[in-house]
Amino acid sequence: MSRLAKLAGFAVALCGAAGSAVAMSYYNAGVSAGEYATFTLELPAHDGIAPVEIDLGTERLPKALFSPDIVTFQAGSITNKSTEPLTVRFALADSDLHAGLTIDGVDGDFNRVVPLPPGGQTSISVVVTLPPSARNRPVPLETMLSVEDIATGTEVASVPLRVRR
Amino acid sequence: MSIIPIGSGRIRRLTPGSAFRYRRLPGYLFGILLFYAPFTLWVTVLGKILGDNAGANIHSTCLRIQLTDIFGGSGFKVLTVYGLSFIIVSSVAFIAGPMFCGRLCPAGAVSEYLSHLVPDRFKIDWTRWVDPTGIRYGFLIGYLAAPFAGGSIACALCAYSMLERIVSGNLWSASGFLSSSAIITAFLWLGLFGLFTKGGRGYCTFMCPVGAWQSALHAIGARLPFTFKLRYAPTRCTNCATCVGECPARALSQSGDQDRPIVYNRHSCITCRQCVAVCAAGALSYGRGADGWKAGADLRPLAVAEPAE
Repeated sequence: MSRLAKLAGFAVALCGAAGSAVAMSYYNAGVSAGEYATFTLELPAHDGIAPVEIDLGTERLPKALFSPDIVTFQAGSITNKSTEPLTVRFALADSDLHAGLTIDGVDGDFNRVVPLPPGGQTSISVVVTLPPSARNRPVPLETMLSVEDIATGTEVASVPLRVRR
Repeated sequence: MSIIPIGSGRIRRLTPGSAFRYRRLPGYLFGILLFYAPFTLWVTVLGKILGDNAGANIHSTCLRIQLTDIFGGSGFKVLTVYGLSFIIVSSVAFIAGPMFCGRLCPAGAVSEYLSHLVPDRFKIDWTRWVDPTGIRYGFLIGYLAAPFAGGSIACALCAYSMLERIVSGNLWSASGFLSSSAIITAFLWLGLFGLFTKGGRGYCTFMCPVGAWQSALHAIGARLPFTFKLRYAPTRCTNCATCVGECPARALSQSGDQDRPIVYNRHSCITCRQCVAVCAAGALSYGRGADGWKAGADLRPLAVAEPAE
């Protein structure tokens, strides 16, 4: 193969691969927007918090085929904005739901407590498997994520979580 | 594989290629212990030495994120688990080749070893159709540009973190979640570029920016006389092409030239040295000095390997 042909092949491969990676970045941004709901939370949050919603209609094909009934709500940052330390525990209103929790990227459960000094931050992901009976409803899931300060026994935040079709 | 009748039974003697693959396996298991949750020995020890409270998972040593941070202008702290890990892996790649890829990275090993489940006739040799070097570095360039476009793809196409989710049990736990990007990653890593690619290292070759970074460093470092590299003695080569078939990264091919029968693509090499292990003629070796791949860069007569048994 001539040097020019080799160079042309190299250039085509280089540009094609670079373009594919950039295209994947846009695809992944769409996945982030449509397949899991992200929110931030400042504690204490006593004013009404807008529902955090997932629209199953925006699922991409791979997830719709292989993992259609698992939804994720991610709180990228939960910050203690008060001047007092908090020790919080998370709970879902519907305790029958099949749900898992990761805290700061590590598998945890809803019994785990998280200490938050003033200004302290944590992040959580709540992964819920939709119940079979609810999968075809227009609103397959509607629940609340509550954040409780176990030192005082008071609820410091309550976040509505919703999945719709 | 030869079968040696002994008494009333028979024992199977492993080929040099299979034997060396078994010998490489402990390294990859060690990689899991060093970097993967729940073990993370490297993070634990280095974190204690540096006083760095890094998280006990692969993200604390993730070179993908480091590359994005460095080239995205987010800064670089040397005396952290992050920073030192990046410096060490990069330095080793410059001096000795992508040893992390070839001897420690479990994600690449999983797809390579899985590929041996599928007969060769069902596998694709991508190097026959595309220029692997262009794709390898092109993907690295696109990966570094991605944060300025749609956003970072550090975690989006990461087989390394997907393996951690398998090892730690997260993938099938209550908090296991597969996004479309993760599903595509699994399909490419284990399926198309794993099981159905010759060598099983298609993901490593085409989609791993960390491997591409190490290859770029090795391509520069190998020009220096004191660094370690794969070396070739064409006068010893019998053109049996065993090395070509055994290379998991498809870095070796036949040239058709009687004087130099084998061609080497250093940019694809992961320095696993599978080729050295299977070379019956001792034409391939790993060491310092001239590499022997081009005319004028011949090895000294004594600098050749002992033939594989």
